Amino acid sequence: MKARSKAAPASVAKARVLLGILCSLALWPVVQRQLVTRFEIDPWKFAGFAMYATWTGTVVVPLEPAPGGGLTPMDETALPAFARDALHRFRRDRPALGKLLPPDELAQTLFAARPEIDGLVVAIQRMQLDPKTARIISTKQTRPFVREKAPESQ
Amino acid sequence: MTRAVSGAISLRVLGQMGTVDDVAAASSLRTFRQFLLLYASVRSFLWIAYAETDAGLLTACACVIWFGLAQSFSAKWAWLAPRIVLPVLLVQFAWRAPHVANHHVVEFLSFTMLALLGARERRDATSVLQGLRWLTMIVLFWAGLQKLLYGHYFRGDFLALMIAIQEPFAVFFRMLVSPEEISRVAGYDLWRTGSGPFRLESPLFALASNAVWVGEMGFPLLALLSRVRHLAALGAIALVLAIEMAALEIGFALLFLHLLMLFFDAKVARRLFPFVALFLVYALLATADSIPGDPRLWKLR
Repeated sequence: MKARSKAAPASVAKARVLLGILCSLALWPVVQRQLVTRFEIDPWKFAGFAMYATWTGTVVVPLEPAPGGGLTPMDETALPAFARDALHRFRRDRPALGKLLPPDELAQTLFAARPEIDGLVVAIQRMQLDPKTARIISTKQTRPFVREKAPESQ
Repeated sequence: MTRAVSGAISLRVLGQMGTVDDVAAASSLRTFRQFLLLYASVRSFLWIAYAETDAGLLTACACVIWFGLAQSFSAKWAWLAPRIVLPVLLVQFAWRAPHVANHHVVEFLSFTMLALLGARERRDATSVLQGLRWLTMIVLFWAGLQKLLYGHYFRGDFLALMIAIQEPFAVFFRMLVSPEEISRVAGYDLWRTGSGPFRLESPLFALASNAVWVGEMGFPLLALLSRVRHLAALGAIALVLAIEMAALEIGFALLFLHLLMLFFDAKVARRLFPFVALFLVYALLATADSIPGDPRLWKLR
């Protein structure tokens, strides 16, 4: 230990860098937990080391006005490829990013794919395991979108 | 003065993970660097093999890592390999974002620490080795603390859910849980609100569940005590092996076991290296459909 205390300046600088990395690593999961609570990001990701600690699942359903009133799930098989891809990407990335990835861009893509509709709803259901009852609980978020009308030319 | 104090504190804190002479530390780090580059090489290959897009970018990144792997066997230039690979890892993980797993973060930080070694490796080897030991124990501790905070391990709820959705968990826990109980939880619809309870009556199962977070938090704390440090590392190795028998996260397991082996003499990891290399070559051949097996199931990526 005596020899170590007489370490060269470069070594001491590197020791400081190492300690900086380790302190960040040790404190970051506190921030990650806040991100999970506030934005519903995936608890398993973003260096929080909560893998296999909890379970969450996300269901994304785009809805459109039903002919007789109300809402009905969009027929995804009838969507053009670019809209299906956008939906696939959103379903893949939303569980990881949570509310940091709002469905606005997806809604605009769906409007582009379905020119005949003026409104749609993106329903996002987040499932998780309740620690008290050990049952699945869920929260549902529905975002209505109205097609933006292009300004009329003079 | 402040810099001198912070430097002394840094060395002191790092020293809490054991004092190792520079020659032994450099030897341990050489083996670990070779493993890490081999691991990153195989992971990069698998990313290319299963990529839906950007195979060109991933191939370019992999080529740099493969070059780094070759470099790691050169006595003169091995120290440079992590510095060359580090920016490439950033590109790979940016491509993968937001689906970067925690073991990718551990891999990146390990490379970062190894990149601190200069041409005269022995000079900083002890600090870097201590840093990597700290990294290992911080990650393990947080893994346990998160399980404690989420509260799904006290009565085994999370593991019961995993039994329901992942076959390897069901197979692993057959020795503690009756087939009827396994069938019961497997029958619940995970995607229906109110499904459950994902709770099993076996006291042994609850004990095993609690042993996970207790071990994950306990071994890192014990590693701070010089007398039992090796025992704590051995316990952590046993725990990781037990967990991976159910979880089958082979990629994470390989990386983490090699980090834990940094608590022991370099020859342990060196002797294991050919077997690990053989396994990873097997994974590559299986990916190329040359031999049976599906590396996707081993979660090597």
